Amino acid sequence: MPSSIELTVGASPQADLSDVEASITKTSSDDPESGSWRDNTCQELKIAVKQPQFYATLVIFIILEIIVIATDSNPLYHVLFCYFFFLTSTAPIATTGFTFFKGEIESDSKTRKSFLVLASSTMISWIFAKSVQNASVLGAKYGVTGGFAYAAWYISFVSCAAVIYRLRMMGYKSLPAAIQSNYGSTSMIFFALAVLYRLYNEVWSNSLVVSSFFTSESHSSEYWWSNILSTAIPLVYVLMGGLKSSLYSDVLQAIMFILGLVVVLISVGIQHSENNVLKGYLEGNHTSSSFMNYNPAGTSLDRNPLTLAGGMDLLITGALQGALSYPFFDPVLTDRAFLANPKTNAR
Amino acid sequence: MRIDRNITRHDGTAITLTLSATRFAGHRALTAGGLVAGAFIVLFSFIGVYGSMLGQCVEAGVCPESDLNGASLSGVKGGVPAEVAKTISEGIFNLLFLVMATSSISTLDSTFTSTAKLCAPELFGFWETGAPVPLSEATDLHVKVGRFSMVAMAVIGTLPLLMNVTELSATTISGTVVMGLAGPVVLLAFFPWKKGEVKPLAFLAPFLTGAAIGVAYMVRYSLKSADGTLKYPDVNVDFTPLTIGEGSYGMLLGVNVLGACLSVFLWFLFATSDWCFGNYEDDGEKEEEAASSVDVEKGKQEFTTR
Repeated sequence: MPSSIELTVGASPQADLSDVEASITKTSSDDPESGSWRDNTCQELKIAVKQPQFYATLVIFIILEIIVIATDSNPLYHVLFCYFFFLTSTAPIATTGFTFFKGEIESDSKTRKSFLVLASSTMISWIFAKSVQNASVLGAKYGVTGGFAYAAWYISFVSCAAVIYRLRMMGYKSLPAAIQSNYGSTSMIFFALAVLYRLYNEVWSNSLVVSSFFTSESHSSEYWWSNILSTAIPLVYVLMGGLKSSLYSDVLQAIMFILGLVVVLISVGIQHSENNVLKGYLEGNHTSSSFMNYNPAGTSLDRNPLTLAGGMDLLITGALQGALSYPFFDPVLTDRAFLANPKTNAR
Repeated sequence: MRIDRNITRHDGTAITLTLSATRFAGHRALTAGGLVAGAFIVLFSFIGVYGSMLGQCVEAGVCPESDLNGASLSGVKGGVPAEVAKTISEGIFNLLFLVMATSSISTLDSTFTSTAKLCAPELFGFWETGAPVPLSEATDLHVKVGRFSMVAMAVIGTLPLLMNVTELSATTISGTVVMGLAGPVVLLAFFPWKKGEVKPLAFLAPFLTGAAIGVAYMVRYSLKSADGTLKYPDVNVDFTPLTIGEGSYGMLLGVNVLGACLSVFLWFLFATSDWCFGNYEDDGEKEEEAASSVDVEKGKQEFTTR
């Protein structure tokens, strides 16, 4: 909804931006589409159920379930198959580049919707299965300092937002385009190779974390099935809908993830608070029995968590990489930073 | 939604401020997503913290072994999430699997879409037209190439599993290999030069230097074979003088500090020199430059008034 305000201000242009902000809020609340997107989603779901794609997925799902039940396989397969069913049966089928590569995030009228979609999408896509694993392992090594050290890599988001914002101001549509026009084609190819290398590493390192729940024995048949299934399921629905299905499944996944995490953490908290023997042992031999102050090495005389050896070396490394280099070879992050911007050059 | 605001300044010049709520939303969304993700990572470390508490208590013989509930002591003490969850109950183990599968699947779907975008409009577009094609101009052929590249990435990305890959930190270290991007990307955003001037060495020198140091570090100090020992301990590089502090990540920190400094230094060296080997002016972009300079000015205004 474009609206124009003509104003004459005597002083600097910075004078009263509050005015403009007020009108931004005003216009967006007048926008009928942003309020009713939940209804639209329901509508879309109803249409999806009537598609042949829905029934085809249902049949495959039932066959897979029968195989798992008949062969008495690991119950964790049910979780993967449910994922397959929900995400594939409702996935949009992209026919245009706009849906496939841009996820239809361009329409000016859906500001609030794209805010929610983008925020949850970047959040969930950037919590890799292996970062959960690493955060937990570092927590065991350094106490909560390890968690903060690993979180330092998430400075990437702020750095990425600031840098990509400025690059878009200069009129660039993507990071490879910016690199090519300033540094030439050879540089762009090198950059693309680095990015491809990263993407390739993401595939096996994430599916490996999933398969570690099935079996600890590598190269067994369970190992292969769990690895292949956890790679094939996301592949199928993004093949259909491209970025659009990735973005919209991210919202669902963010909700599942947060709910699951909250329950796991609460039960960890309950186990901890009910175990008096454990607390007694920790009070006697470690700095504290609380999650925030527990020191795996003993007391701060053994290893102070605020020193380099206590985990600060990793925290500084993370902050350095997160601020300067890490975000820019991860297209999962930079691609999203280039979305939701209708006209960089307002023409 | 866009708001155009015409302002007459005190010196009489009229400027137009374009405020796009959508544009702001995109970047706020990113920052919001990052804060939430960082907070979750800290919360997730509590699982490992609890594992370490329980593991040490059992190891000391104070807590009964039945507390482990069948999980392995080394796994619990080392904070492996699956093992810690087992000590609580089977239900929590299954729920944690759901959480892990969710984060793995959501990362992989984004990995595939990014692959498609890089391979089709950007690389394939470069091969077709000589420059990455903007997403809004992607054609049906690009969609086909994109779909093909997704399948290829899934197959090639699964191949390393045929080998004995046990070392997950190999990918954490990969951040060190690209530390050379610091200058070429971040500084470019803050100290841009005239559009149309191409300075390849300002990218290649910092990027390749960083990559060389990073790869050397990775091969010598981080690649491990299946039994957990270093794979190539005889490679003739020595980063011990770089180590900062006594901690186990002291050398990683030192290498990264060196890499960041070199990247910034080399970028300034090659970006500030007007004539340098390999530099050229791209004539094709000059017209575009003239056309867009007005918009860039506008953009800058907008940025400063934010």
